[in-house]
Amino acid sequence: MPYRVVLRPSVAKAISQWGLSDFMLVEVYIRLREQLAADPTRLLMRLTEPFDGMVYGFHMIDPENRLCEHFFVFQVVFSQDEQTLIVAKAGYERREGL
Amino acid sequence: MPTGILFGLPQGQLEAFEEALAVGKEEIELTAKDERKKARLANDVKGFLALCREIPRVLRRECDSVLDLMAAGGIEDYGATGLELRRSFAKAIEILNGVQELVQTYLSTGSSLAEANAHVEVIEGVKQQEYEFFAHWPDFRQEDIEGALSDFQHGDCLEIDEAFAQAKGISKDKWSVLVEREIKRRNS
Repeated sequence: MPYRVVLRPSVAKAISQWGLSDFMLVEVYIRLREQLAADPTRLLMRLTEPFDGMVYGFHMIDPENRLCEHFFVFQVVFSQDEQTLIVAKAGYERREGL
Repeated sequence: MPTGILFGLPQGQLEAFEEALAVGKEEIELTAKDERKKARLANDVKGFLALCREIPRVLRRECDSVLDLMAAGGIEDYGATGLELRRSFAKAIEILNGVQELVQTYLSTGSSLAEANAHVEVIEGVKQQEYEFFAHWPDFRQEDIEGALSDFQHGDCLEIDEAFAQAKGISKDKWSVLVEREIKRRNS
């Protein structure tokens, strides 16, 4: 049974500012909704500084522009109902001209 | 954690660099009327400027190292890593501003320097480089977790479809259509 995934409104706003193509936006959506939701214990990485919690990160070369690489990382917390993953915050980097 | 931040310069070496700049400025003022010495000084100043043109590339390599670590899941503390990189940028800008002062002192003797404007562009370029790198840098904090749990309890979080529809600036229905279209495109 996959987890339900919810995002803080500030995360939606942050994503809107990344300037992603439709392809990449859908990719991020699929990674969160399908991959992370299906297997969070495998995909989440534990950090202890500067906060004690979990992050989910991935990177990929843009298939529509092979000179562009995208790096994503999300701070994720399990809800108390243990059925929902809350995306608390997000970070993004882009490298152009590999 | 990446090492070798900006030339691996510890604070003492930066001070030595600053001393060299101060000596350079003093020398420029003392030799302002000696044409032969001025020619030598011009070469020295051009040497400083040539070194400075390397700084954006050095910073780019440091940013790349951080991104490579990020891709490998090797960053254990985003706060500390970001801070270390910011220190590199601060050190770079300090050096660049020091050289700019040297250039201004040189120009104030009535000499000309074709590379002077390009140096200003290097400084602006480094500031832009820093701004772009940190525009969306993950600045994760403990209070974000507490805030997330509180938002969730109060029903303020968005379902993932709604969140991405908002991020795209379209309705949830249009978002579903877009996702379907993208998935078909990938599978075709």
